Amino acid sequence: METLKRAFNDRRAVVGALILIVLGLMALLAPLLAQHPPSQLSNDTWLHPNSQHWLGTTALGQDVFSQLLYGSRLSLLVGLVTGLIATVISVIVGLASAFFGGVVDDILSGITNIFLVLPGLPLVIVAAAYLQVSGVVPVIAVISFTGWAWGARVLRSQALSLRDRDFVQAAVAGGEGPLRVIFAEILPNMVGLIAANFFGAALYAVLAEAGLEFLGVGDVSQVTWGTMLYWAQSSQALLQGAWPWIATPGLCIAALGTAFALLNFAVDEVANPRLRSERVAAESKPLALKPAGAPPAGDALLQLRHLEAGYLTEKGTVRAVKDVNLEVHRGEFLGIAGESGCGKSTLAFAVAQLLRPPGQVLSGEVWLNGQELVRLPPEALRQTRWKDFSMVFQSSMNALNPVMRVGDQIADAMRAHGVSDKSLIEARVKELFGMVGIRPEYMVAYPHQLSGGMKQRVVIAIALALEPRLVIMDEPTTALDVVVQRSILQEIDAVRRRLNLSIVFITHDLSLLVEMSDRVAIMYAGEIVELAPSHDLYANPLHPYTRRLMNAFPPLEGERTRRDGIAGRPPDLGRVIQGCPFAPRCDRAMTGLCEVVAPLRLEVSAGHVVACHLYDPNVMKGRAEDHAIAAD
Amino acid sequence: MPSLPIKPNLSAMPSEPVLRLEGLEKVFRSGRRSVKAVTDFNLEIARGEVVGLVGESGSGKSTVARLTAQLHRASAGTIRLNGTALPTRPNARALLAYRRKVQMIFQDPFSSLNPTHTVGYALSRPLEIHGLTRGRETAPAVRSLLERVGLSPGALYEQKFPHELSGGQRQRVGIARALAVQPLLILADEPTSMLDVSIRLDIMNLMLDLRDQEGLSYLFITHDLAGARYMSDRVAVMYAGHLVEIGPSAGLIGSPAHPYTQLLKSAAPKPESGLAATRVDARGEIPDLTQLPPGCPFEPRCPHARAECRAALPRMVELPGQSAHQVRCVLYYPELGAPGIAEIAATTQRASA
Amino acid sequence: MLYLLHKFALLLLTLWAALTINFFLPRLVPGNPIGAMIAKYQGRLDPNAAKALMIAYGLEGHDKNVLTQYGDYLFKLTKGDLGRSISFFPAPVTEMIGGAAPWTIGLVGVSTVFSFLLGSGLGVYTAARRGSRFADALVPLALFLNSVPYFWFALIALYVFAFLLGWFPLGGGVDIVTGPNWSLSWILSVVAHAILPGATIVLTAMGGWLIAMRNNLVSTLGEDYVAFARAKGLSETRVLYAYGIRNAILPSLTAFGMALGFVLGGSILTEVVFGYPGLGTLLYHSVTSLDYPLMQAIFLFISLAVLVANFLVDATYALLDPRVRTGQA
Repeated sequence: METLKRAFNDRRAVVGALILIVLGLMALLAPLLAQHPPSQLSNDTWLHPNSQHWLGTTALGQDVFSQLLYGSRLSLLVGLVTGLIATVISVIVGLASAFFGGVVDDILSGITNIFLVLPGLPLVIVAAAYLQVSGVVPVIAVISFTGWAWGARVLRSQALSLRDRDFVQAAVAGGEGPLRVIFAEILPNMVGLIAANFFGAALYAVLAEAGLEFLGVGDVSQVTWGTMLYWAQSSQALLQGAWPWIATPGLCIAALGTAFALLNFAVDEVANPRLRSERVAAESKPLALKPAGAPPAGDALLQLRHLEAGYLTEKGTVRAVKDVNLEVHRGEFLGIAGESGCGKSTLAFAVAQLLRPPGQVLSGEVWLNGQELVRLPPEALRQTRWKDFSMVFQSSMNALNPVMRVGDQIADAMRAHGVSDKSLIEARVKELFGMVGIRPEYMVAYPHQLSGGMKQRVVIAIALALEPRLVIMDEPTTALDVVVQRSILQEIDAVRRRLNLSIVFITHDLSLLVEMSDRVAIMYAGEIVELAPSHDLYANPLHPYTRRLMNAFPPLEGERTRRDGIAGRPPDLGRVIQGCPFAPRCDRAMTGLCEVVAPLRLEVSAGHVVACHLYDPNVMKGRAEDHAIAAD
Repeated sequence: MPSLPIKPNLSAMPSEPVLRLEGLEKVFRSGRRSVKAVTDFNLEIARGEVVGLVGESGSGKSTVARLTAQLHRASAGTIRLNGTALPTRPNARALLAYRRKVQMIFQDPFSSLNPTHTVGYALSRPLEIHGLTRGRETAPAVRSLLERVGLSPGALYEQKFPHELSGGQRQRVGIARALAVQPLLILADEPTSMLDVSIRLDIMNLMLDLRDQEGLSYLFITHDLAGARYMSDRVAVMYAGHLVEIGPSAGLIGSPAHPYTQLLKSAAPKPESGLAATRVDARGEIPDLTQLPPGCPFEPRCPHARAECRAALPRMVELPGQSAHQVRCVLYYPELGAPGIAEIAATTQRASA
Repeated sequence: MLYLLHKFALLLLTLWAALTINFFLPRLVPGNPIGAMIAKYQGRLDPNAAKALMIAYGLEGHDKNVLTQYGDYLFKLTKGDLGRSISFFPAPVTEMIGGAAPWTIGLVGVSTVFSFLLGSGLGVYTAARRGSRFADALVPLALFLNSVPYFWFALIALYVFAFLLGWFPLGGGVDIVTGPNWSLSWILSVVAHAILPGATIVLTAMGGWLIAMRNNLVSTLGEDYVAFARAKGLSETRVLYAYGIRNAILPSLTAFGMALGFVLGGSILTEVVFGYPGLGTLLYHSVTSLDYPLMQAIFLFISLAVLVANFLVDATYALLDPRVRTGQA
């Protein structure tokens, strides 16, 4: 239902529905609007449009406008009823096929495939010619008979994927019977697709009916838009100059078809969220940025200055990265940890300038190797990419082009940056494969021939192709098993040490990060709340959030004691947050302070920065004095 | 109050385990390919016991859960509930009675609740299917269920749709749904792996509290050794469809006997030591389940592999002096002098040094 | 290879289904089908034709049961015997189809392929330029074109461009006076006659391909591998072609194969409007003159053509998708 509701927020759906309503009104109000009975013959043949006959008359003196009005009745009826019948058949066949599987599925899919490729219209024509159609019922029957297959195929595949979803499995495990599973669990989730399919089938029905009647195979004594065209054509109406007789029924058919097509398209778009979000994306506009400051002094490879990034949504701006200041040194392994939704992935994409609308860098600077990336023109940015920095995505399972050999996917990155010598490229690809532990035979393999771990290795090999100074890794091993993860991390670490790479490594797994990193940054609600050398962070976590997060990983050794998670949820980044964002979940929050005043970032010991009032000497001194006063 | 929590009297319970899996096997066929997902799997779960089932993806651990939940039909083997064997092709009534006692919690809280139904509907269905409540009794029972899993007030949450809840809240609904029929055993298929670290412990604690209150048993499936250790009384380790090691969780994870379990443990993140300090030899990948080798499935990757490993599938043997700790590995065959024991001792010594 | 074998088996199965439907169609009419048929001609039927009709349908002996009739029917088919036309008695229907088919293959075949290419090309444009006024306006236009009945659009085109403006011939496939077949003037005449019907087919069929390609490409451009390709610093053109279109064309191609039956069925109606000497016009003629053997033979031939075209599409698909080629899908 939700899908349908959203579909009607769409302009196209509204237009489609309006057309349908207008045509429906024509059909309903035909007796009131028509000045003449539709089939009444008269001697006023071939009249041009006039006040008596708004669209002129036919070769037999019938009023074209009246025919058009009355014609809408059967044309609409055939479209809607046929769409409905074909959809019902599709739903039954699709669901039965998906739910029973096995032989039932084989047979039904076979029949569906046959009906899909059989040329529908010629079959309908021949069948109708044999049946010597009278009335609309046979027309509806033949068109439904040939029009259900497409829908059955689409619905079957959706039902199949729904059948394997956990909620269906849960219903089965809970003891639900098959009928209830189909009708209460699977079917409600297919409403959008069924609706889209109904409109598609109705469109087919309208066109097939018109074609049938135009050929005179249908019952030409009925008044429909299709038979109007048949009589007009056989009386050579155009040559007589009676163009409204031909133009208007055709336009009406096209309008009805368009209405169905618009509704189909709109429902489809809602059912496929990707089409939708892209549309919002296309509508957002870039922001004006302040000019950048001076390049950084010192030896930092990457420097982020007051970086802010987020998403421009219909409800307002979601600030997912807030005032982040960070430096990464040459050869350094910097880890960034935090819960999901804390902005760590947005930070990675913002640094790499890969945020796609509605995501955007809102303000701030990203200095890499003396270049400011946010303000870099597209072509310069393209050239800098991969040469100076590369990125490994979270979802590397999908990061490889399925129709391209994996070796070529390394080669094209090299070619895009000016390496064109074929043998050089091949040698380099071989070398890279060796570096990440894949046998060179796999250079010519396609992604689907590799296991998850191997795909991830290929992606890392691609990231290293041009020996960039910085590699940003966004949860590169989260989807992998521990053993594979460990071996890939070892390769990464070895390569880093050999090439003196800098790595920014993002994950939710703090225990892993502490083990791997030189320094670790803890993110919460878009901010870096603590930053410290990893051994320091492990031995002496300061921020209450960091402490709770560390505690959330049960140990492999030692006493088994009860531990607690972190109650509550991270704040909504779409809202303005006052004070410390962690205050509502913090067991050490100071009332009247933490939820009001945002803490400053303070360097507590060498390289150990924390944003918490507990470590602000001024604040704590003030509070101690307050307490002293209160005690007096 | 329509549904009273059962306070189990553990001492009065018969010694028969709640669940006994005997020689469970599952072969998936598609076309000419057949995948042997589970091979000769034996396991017992006692009343009030939590057994952790650990393995990597493709190890068959989820299949074991789905076989036990009767979502798949086993190719061979017997499932005994309280000593009574479930027929191979149970009729609808037998199946319903079985489901009343064995429930499941799913991995992904975002896909395990039907987006088109309210939380109240999801929880009322099991009550109604199994005839536990009727008509007006259902609503208060649903509310009390919600409150038992920490979603108070229940009246507020029962009206919500899944998309209005956070991942942790959804997983609590998933637990409440399993709890609704007052089962004996809950199969929990990686119930925390899709959740944020900060919420995982809360969900695990909730499950443990419910165990204490209601005498539930769990089969807790996970790929995370530390999580298994936190939750479980005993841990079972699977590799390529085979049970390779089983034992009390502290002992097994403290000093794993099977070379594969040792590899798993060494690969787990250890924040206290740097990466370079714990280099892991992780050659190879899980074997192709369409053509398993006749011997030990871990043999191609095993650093201790020997001729005996390739001959036949090793049997489960007890570690000397620890009858509860069993391992499927020739290194512990008494007739070969159990050379693995010395190996464990050496590793433990290295680790403590 | 396994994939293509599978597809070929499906082709044979579908062909068999078409043959069987074809066999049972005349037997759907209640009572004695031939009697009913002959009655419809109201005595205008040549007695020889009536006899030929009986033979063609295997109905001359009433003692034969349906299965024997079915066997005979299939046996005759293997010899290419589809019976004789009634309206052009005693011409064998195969001969008549042989005369008309090249025209249809030339016109409808070429226009359909062209409309797929053009529609897909415009689909790429609308997907790549989402947000620009022109690109976004093409989408509802395509939806409209897709909903216009082929033959009606043909009527209007014929009226405007041939009748009012006189730019194109009013109908037919070629002028008789232009000279021998395959002479330059003959070819030019053929082309002149084909432009208008061809254009109407291209325009009306294009809308569907445009929408399909647009939706596929928009989906594909949202894939992680496209984002990764951009991150690699590839040029936008390379990303669009090698990563976007190269993948989006696959589901478009599937849709093309599946819609062929419908599209070809629709476009042969265009022939009727233009009096084009192809199968569409022949089908129309057979329907109006109740020439059942001819009608059925045309249905069979169109089915066969669609099946073969479909198989070619599948083969192309296999060529383009390594997952199918290496037998993983």
